[in-house]
Amino acid sequence: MSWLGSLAIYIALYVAIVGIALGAVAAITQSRRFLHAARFATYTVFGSITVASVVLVHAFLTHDFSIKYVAGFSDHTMPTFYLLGAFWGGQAGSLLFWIWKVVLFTAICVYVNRRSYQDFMPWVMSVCMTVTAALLLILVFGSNPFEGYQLIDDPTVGQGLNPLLQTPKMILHPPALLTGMASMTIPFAFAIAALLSGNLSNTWVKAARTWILIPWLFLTVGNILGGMWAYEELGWGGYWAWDPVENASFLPWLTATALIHSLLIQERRGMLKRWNVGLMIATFLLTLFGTYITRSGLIESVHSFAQSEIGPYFLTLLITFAVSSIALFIWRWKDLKADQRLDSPVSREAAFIFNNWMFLSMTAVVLFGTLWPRIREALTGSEIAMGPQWFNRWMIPMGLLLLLMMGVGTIIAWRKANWKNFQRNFVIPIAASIVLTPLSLVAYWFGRGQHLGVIPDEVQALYAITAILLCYFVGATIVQEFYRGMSARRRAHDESWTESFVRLCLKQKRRYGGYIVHLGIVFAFLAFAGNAMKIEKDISLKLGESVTIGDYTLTYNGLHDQHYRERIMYTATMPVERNGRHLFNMNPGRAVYHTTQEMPISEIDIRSTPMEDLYVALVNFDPSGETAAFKVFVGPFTWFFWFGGVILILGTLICLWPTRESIDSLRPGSSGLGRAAVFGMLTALTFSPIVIWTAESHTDWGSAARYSLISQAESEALPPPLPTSLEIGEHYAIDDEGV
Amino acid sequence: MTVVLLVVSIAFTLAMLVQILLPFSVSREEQLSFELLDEELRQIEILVNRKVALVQTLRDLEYDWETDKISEKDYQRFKRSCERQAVAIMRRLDAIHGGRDWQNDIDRAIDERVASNLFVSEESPSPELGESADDHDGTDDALVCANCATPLEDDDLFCGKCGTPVASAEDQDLPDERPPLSDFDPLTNTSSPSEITG
Repeated sequence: MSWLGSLAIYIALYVAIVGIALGAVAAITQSRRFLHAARFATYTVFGSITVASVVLVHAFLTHDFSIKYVAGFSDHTMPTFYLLGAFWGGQAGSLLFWIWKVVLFTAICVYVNRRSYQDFMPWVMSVCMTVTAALLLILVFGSNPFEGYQLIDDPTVGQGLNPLLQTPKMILHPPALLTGMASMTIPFAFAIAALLSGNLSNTWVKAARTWILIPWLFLTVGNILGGMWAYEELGWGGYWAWDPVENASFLPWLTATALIHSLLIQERRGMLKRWNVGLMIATFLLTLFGTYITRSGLIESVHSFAQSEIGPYFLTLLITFAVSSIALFIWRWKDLKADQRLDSPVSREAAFIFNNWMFLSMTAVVLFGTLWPRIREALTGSEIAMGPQWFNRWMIPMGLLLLLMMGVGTIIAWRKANWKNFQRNFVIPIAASIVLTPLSLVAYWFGRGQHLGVIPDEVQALYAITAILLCYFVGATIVQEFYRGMSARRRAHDESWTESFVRLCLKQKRRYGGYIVHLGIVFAFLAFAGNAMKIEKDISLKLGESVTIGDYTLTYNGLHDQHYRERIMYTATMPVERNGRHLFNMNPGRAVYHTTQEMPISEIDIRSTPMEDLYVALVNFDPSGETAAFKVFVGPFTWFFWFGGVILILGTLICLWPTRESIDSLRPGSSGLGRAAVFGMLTALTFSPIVIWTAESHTDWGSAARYSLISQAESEALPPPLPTSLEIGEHYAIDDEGV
Repeated sequence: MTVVLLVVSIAFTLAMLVQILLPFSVSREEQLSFELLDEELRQIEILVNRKVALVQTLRDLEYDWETDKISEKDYQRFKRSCERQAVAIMRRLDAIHGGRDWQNDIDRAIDERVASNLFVSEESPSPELGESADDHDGTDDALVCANCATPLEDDDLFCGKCGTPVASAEDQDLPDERPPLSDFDPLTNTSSPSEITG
């Protein structure tokens, strides 16, 4: 079957190149024949890449190890779930998946806009096909996923997927991020189409505002799931460690967020035209840059499993797109003159511009922190590390400023703010934050904080208190906006509070969806503030020994092991008590895979509540099981980070909520079913992180104990070389197993 | 399952491939039919998009003004500007719909009525007098169907033979959207049809 996959890729590449020409001719000559042909060229490329993708999935499911990629990333023991995940588990497959997403979104965009944006669509198709053809060239010449062995060399077993990737979140995290990066092609194509066609009115802004929310949503979901994976699998005790590859996906998220705000200013006031085109180009280039640094091995990272030899190809692609986009931008520079100027520095426009500068500054800091160690090493030969502390020193104050501007930008007047505006819009939020911050700090300290026994240092405390103060301020501005909007509706339409809330969100989706997104950010900042009270301990316990961390008492009750075909799972049992009362048992574990014995994987157990997370990782253990070392964290308010993520996604979905017209554009008369389908899919996507998180936190599925829940058939099928479990205190010579 | 998906995606790809070639492989007449650019649809799409954007802007403006995020002066200025743009767009949309250009017809008709009104006021002091004079003259034009020339009674609304509305004989040059003119003023009956509609 691999020949079919290769053939499909070659056809796709050929048709994509033809599609570029067809689109360009259609744009220049306004020929409908060429437009028709270009449109169907995009559909053909989509069909071809789908054929290639299905061939690869089929090869994984049927264990066709004659294909190198399948043999390299799967084996007979992997369940179907992970076999599907192996599709994007390696370099070539993830690139194929990326291309599939680019052509999928291109096909959707072309179909939905088959009767609109007539000036732009031929160019949009051309640009999208150019991106597709460039990526396909890398796929064909750099890393073909259908490359096979010589018949005689076919392996009979596969090497299996990297054990780190064998968690449910890793099946969702890479495709979400790849989707976000791939779909960024569409708004970029609209910007380039505007430059190429010379139609620099607000039309591209309108299209871009809709299409950029999709990559933004997927980048957000991808980053949150990535944070969850790091939190649960890597044993950092945190969800963000400023790892270079985390940064790589964070950079386009920052610029895309800035762009979403600045596009609003252009739409309303005709300002920032150059800024927006520049930011759009930068955002797209950052997605390519992120891919380059992840796959080239330029930067050392936890994502080193994604490295390959195609770095130079991506660098060429990045430089080509950068040079051509910037040249085009310079060519249209004069035509992109703003219609209006800033009237006053105390206005909403100014607040948005300031917030854009803050986003750009954060982007610059993250970019510098990511690249400087490598640049310095190349220049001087000396290695330096830019750790989380360096990033936090810059990012925390900038983040707090941004939070402040988020509140101010919501309520300040357009054009020029005056005293009346201040009185009406600022007084309540300021009063609320001044009153509620000390009250809640005192309540937390006496209710919970003092029992943790942590005294944060001055700087941490200052940041945490400022964050709480600003959270209240921004929260109050949002509540005030909703209250006023709902009151106005109730006066005008005689509606109930619930009805007016729903209708308000539906009537002004972008405005109120945006406010809900802001609310999600507020919850995330609450989680950041909680880090001031975080406890981190490395402990070593003997069998039966207890330790008290915060007010939790953890007792080590021994290890037991379970043997599976591909791994041995060592699981510790730790009852947790508070003030002598048993709360729950925790089961941190460590998995040793037969294929990668030098790299044991932590199976961290976390009990998560809104108040705090208790996080236990098994770091090491004595071969006899008599002693074991653990890493324990108590993280106040961490739960709010995930909760804020869900609120943020929910707000984005409200902004993206399909209108009757947009559903009709899919197929006339499909309103009810289409809406239900779109709504269903988006809701499932929104709540997937928190559902997974809650399920894993409160059941054995989140700890090493989940392996005992997996079908016993697998372990029963094995010959019994060893006892399947060790009783407490029973000695077990791990060395005998060669571990 | 994957085999079924594979077959479906191959069939889809081939069908789309045929569609790429279709505009270039058909007869010359059919090729030309592809080139019939529906300029009106394109214009309508652009105008409707602008109208929707303006309506949204107006809604936002209203909200910002209610919550003191914009001054009264700016609100009025922006609102007027948006309304002017919206009216201009709607006029252009109306002009495109069916290509009837009825806006100009109305303007022209109004001008002529005003002119005829002046003329009547100068010539005959009271409309009632004019009306009775016309009746007295017994002009036959109004009593014959404009379509089939069948003689009509005074109180006929439609032609008994072909069904043509009697009024259409008077306003045959007017566009379909004529509510503003239908009961415009009693002078209608005082002048000949050609004087009214031009």
